[in-house]
Amino acid sequence: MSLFYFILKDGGEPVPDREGNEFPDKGAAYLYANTVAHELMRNREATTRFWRLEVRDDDLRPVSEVPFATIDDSICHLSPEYRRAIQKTCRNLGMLSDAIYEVRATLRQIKTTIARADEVMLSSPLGGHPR
Amino acid sequence: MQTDLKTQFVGERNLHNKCLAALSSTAQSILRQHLTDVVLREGTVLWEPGRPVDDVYFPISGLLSVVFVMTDGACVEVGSIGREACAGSVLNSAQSDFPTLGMVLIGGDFTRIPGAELLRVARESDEVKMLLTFAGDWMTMQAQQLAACNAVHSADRRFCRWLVQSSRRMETVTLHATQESIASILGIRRTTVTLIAQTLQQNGIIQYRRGKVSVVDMARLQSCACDCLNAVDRRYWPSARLAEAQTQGRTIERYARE
Repeated sequence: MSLFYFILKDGGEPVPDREGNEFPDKGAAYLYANTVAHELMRNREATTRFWRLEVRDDDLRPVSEVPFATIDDSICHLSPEYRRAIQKTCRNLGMLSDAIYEVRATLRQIKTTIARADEVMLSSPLGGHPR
Repeated sequence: MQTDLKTQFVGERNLHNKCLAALSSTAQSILRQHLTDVVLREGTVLWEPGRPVDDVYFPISGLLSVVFVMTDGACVEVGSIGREACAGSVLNSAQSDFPTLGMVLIGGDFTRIPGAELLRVARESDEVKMLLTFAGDWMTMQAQQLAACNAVHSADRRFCRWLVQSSRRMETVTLHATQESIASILGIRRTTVTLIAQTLQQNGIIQYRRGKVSVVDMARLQSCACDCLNAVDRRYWPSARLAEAQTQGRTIERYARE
């Protein structure tokens, strides 16, 4: 049995399950992730369609991912062509959300660094003139 | 009259079952000789399908859960009982082999009474009869609400609804409940509960640490919960209905007529 972890990517800060679960192999972990994704998505399909659930191994290496759009029962009635288009759009939307989150996180880090630099300059014996 | 029960059963802990406390001192004195204080741990099974137990439990600081058990072992909560009511297989299952299981979801103090005694007292006391009627109504209302809720509401909204309702019933913003036990009563995987709880925590709504969940922002938690929150609220608590009946001098016969 090996330990697997799950990370929810919903466009914001990634949500990790730090406890993890033991499974005999990657396939069993993927099936479990599928069930969890179904449970998270049920009765709110439209707002969670671009979410993804990532499976990671014991060394936290990504091993698979469940895009919610691929398990969305509410679009089953559509033609395969439309479903594929929705799934592709959701994938792109997910990647865009990730990128926007990363940019925001970087901006926050930069602001924190500048604030610290200002503090250091003010407390130095030479004084300083922060912006 | 409420002080009587507090002193008698839980000393200075300033806690009591609101349902028992809503009874008149006469009804309390009749019941008192049959009541026993017990401390029950999380996970204690009170009754299970095919093994009914005569006792009826009045939670003081714990929370009981009545779950419906499927043939494959899966289960989902059909009722939750805190300080506002009481539960027992003699009250909640019409048949001894009916597949419901009563368990302690959050451990704590409880007051126990043999069901046979409670039913006997109810034949003599109009108030106790009312208590049993209201307790039965409460279970029916919850089962109806949960059936609808489980069918149409999302897991995250159900989790928030459960948390607010439990917090109200236990009159605390900190609940000692593991993610495993919450997952089992909501009929979902532990990982699903963890991811929902983690999202709420990252948004500053709750804090989850070592089997203890604390509500940080109750207003936002309520806004994240499903509509069921207000459909089955404290107006229907057996304790509230008993207190209302006391003030209005109602009897069970009058309730039946109305």
